[in-house]
Amino acid sequence: MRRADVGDRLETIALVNGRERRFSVLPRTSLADALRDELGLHGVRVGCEHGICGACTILVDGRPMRSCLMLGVQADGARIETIEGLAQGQQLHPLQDAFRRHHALQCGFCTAGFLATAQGLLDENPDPTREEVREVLSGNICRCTGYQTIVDAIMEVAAQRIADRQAAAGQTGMETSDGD
Amino acid sequence: MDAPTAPSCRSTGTSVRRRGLARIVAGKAAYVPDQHLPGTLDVAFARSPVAHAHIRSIDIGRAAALPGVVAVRTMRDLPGLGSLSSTWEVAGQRHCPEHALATDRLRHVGQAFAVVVANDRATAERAAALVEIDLEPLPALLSVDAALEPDAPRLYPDWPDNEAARAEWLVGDPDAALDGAALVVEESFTSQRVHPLSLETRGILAAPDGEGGVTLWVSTQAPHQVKMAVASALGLPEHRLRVIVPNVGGGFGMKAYPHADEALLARLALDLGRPVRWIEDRRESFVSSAMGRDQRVDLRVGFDATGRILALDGVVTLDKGALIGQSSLGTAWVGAAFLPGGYAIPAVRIIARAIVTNTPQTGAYRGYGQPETNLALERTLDIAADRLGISPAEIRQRNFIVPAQMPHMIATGVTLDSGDYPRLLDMTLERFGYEEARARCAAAAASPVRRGVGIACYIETSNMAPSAAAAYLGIRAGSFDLLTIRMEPTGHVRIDTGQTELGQGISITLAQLCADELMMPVEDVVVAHGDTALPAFTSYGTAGSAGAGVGGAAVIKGAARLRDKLLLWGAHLLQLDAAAVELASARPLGDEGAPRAVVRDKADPGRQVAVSEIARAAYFFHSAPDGVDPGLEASVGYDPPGFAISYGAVAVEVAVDAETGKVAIERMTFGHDCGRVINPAIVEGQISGAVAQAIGATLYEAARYDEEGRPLSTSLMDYMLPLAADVPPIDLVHLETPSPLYPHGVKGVGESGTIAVPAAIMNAVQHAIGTGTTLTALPLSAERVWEAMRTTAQI
Repeated sequence: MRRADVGDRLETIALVNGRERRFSVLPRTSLADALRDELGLHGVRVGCEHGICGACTILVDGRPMRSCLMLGVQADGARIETIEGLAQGQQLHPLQDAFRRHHALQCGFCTAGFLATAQGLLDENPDPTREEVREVLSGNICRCTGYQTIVDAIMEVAAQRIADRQAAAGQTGMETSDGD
Repeated sequence: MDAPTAPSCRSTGTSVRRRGLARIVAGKAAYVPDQHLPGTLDVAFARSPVAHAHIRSIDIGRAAALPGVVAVRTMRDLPGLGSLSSTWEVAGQRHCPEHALATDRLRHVGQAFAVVVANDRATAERAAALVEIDLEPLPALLSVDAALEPDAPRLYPDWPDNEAARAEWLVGDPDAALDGAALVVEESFTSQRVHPLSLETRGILAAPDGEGGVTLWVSTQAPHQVKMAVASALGLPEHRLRVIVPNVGGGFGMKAYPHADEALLARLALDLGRPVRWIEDRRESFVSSAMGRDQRVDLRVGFDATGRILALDGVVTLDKGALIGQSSLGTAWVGAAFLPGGYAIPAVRIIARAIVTNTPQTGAYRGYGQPETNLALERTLDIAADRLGISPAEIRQRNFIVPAQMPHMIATGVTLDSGDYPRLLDMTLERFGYEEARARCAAAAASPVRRGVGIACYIETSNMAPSAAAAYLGIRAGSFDLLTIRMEPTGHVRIDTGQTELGQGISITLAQLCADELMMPVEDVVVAHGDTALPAFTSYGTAGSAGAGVGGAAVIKGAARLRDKLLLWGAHLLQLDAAAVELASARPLGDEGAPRAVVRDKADPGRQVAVSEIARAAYFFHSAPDGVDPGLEASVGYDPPGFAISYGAVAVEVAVDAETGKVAIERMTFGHDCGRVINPAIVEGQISGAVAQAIGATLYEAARYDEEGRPLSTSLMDYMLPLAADVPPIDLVHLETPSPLYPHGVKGVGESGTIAVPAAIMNAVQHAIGTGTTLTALPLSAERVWEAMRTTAQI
């Protein structure tokens, strides 16, 4: 356990979007501010700074977290994923692409947070009902869309993943039977 | 590329995807807080702890001494910094200049009285808390009733009372008509104060340009108005100012007007010679941005025995808070002018008045006064229908203005341009299954979960009155759009618009209109916006549901002028008469870079020249038609011919928990007619989003103050916004009656979803709980509904 004065900047090392990043922050600096100001990850949006609006939601060790409710130093040793790390190069993540196609955003200020929440949701519950999606999304606020297109986008990605898995399983089954 | 190539060139009427979505979902969009200039200083405000007080003295010593603080200023330290005057100024309006910092008096909790500039935000905030103020407390007026007491102290000593502004309408003899009415319904309806609450707070970055001028990055809907206001407050010539609007995280009216703090930031940037930035804090936003609604409508409506309205007598009272502000009487004025709705009402008397109180100011919020008065009339119709023993649908049908009467000037002087109100209500109720739903609710009358259905109809002002009429209304701005459309040397087109993209989709809408006009694919048209350095100007900001109407009509006018130039050039190159050629889509659509539209010989369509060749010729200008300037550009102005009136009908089914009073919205059918639809997905997005906001304002949201005037809601923990689980899918019913006033038939849609939803939900809740206690006040919190059920049961 390190000790420090409030005025001291603390060295923090985290795996951020797949790369080891070192940054130094004051003990009081929120993780949201640290990611934005020290690492230039401006896709992390700050909407309320008290953990309600969900705009700053990121993945910490694979789970959705409010980066405004964590301190920068708490990221030490953690695996952090922000919206900037979601796409593979120019290839959008299926959730990003679905949000785009379903008009699941207008001003876009809430989008990064919804995408992180949606990732966590689908990891935990790969086949959610519409009601379950609405329930989980109720930790994020969107003021523009009325939410329906966001739910549509997530439901589509869930259905596609299930279809892909079934196709893959079917594929495997065929190969097995071929081998017989 | 965002949009797939359409098989035909016609893009209006299709849901072409907005541009820039890939950047947003990839986290690359940049809002004001994402703008970074080296050496930027952070700004924080010292704010009033009390609702009303004289300022004896302000001591900035301790704040200025804090390490990291660069400057602390009060109004006294900023000589020459002027104030803002109201955008709306009706006849007889009182004056209260809008200063960035308090001068001699504090008039609401949270009013800024000093500003701190520091190396970082934490230091600025810490220093702001160290600014000391010596106060002489004054009695605080925390409601319009208190402010209207005959012996009430005055917020502004040079006014005779606390009424800031008033307007009146009188048509016919409403008193006589009410005396002769078979039924008079008299009630007082209140729409509580709410926070427009864009997810991105307001934000300003101001940087000196090194030549005596300032560039501002502002999260605003109205960059040109900000520029004018800042220039005026600083005494700067306007060409020294530039306002840039990057991505905006929502506006909803809260960012529709300039603010005095924008001028202050510009001044600080000039004085200090460095960029300065203020990003409004969420808690602060409850006192530093204008709140919405907060109106009471006292209404008397007389009916004959068949349910026809004979007369309406209403007083619309707006709690302005401590400042007349930019919108002044505006929301009460619009609410009053549109109070009669789509109904034939022969006699009216309406008074709209704005009263100042010791609370933060109220101003524009999506709906702009219309939801408040809609609630009053649409509730009154239900109350009357119940007392007369006719159905809510029937009483509306008996009073509608019918298509044969269009265009129709209603009693307040507003002209309804077009529409079929009876038919749209019928369509909506049929889709909703109105009669079956009412029967189902009756069956649930004594169950633990009561059910109710409610309907409400609305009209929505859009597209602005002509500039000359705006002057008559007291609006110190025009209504028009100036823009520039340029065909580049490659034949691609760029629109420079003064409209602001807020995520609502105005830029793709404008691109679609232009593309169709020039018979080009929409991919060939880009739209530049959000910068006062562009050759464009929007005189009232992107507000009033006017972007697609006025901005779009300007695009059509500019594109038509550009088309005329293309025809002249095409005829010249084909060695034909201009009358002998026409513009046509290139068929088949070529590969990237190939011609997409051509000018051709009408008599011999095979004889043609691509617009890209024309464009090249126009920019070489080696050989040109007589009297034609080089280049291919059209700059036009478009002043709207009049309001286009959208309208619609809402049907909603609610479930009310009899034990707790909690209301759940089960389903909603929303019928609407916004004239010609340019992009269906964008129209649907506007309605769905506005409906969600209306659900919040109807059931959950309330900006309240304690007995000392301190806000009780200062966070999202105590200000409840609608969440995904609260908003049901909205079933949309479309009817399309193009506005005859506009070349593209467009009526606005941005505010439609907010207007009738509160009344429809309140009517549904009343239906669910029975008619013993008449519901008249928002929000319909569980507590209020439970209380109404309890008293109803006792009756």
